Amino acid sequence: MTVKLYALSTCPHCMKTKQFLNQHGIVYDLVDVDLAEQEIANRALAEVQRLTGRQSFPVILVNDKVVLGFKPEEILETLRNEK
Amino acid sequence: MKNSITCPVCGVAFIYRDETAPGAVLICPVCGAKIEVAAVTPEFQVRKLLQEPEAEIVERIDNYARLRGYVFNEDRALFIKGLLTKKSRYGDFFCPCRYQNIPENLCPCVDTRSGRVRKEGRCLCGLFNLPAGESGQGNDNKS
Repeated sequence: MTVKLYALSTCPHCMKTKQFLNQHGIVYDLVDVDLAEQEIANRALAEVQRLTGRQSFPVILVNDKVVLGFKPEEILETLRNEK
Repeated sequence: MKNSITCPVCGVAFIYRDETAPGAVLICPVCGAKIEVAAVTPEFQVRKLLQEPEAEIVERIDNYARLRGYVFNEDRALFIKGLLTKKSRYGDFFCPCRYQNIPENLCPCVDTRSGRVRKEGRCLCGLFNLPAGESGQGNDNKS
């Protein structure tokens, strides 16, 4: 299972998502889009747009399943289903 | 007395009818920013009130929420932290939940000032919310 988090370093919901994933011992690939180099940021923004239809954060990608926003129950359920 | 004032923060003009004098501090009714009267003659001039960053943004969002009847969610302190980070990195209080640091995204952003909270129950971030019991779709914890 792969978990990827697209976030903004300044966004409170993103901060809480990181904290939640860390507390649950979930290993994830983090892209703080606002801190990334321009080329990586552009790719990440395009990916977020493709996945969600907009540029909102956080976006949690579990394999190919998307959770938009900090929704603890939905994140856990997606993680359980994708194991 | 009737003066047209353009807010140096949000750029929106408003009418101010009360007597005032250089040094007086006004609150922009559009964005909640504190602005200082620089001159009244020969023409009315205002400037942004110089404040410490934290006091500036805290007072601005408090004023804006009070003027609009909005309430904050439980993450107010995290939002202020995010706004202060934006200020230190990019020079102004751009929305902490938006990637683009452009004038339209200065907090409170144009989207918020255009009625999003009334329509959806919260601003994009969720910092500004309708009080419990008022209409709106509520907070879904995304930006």
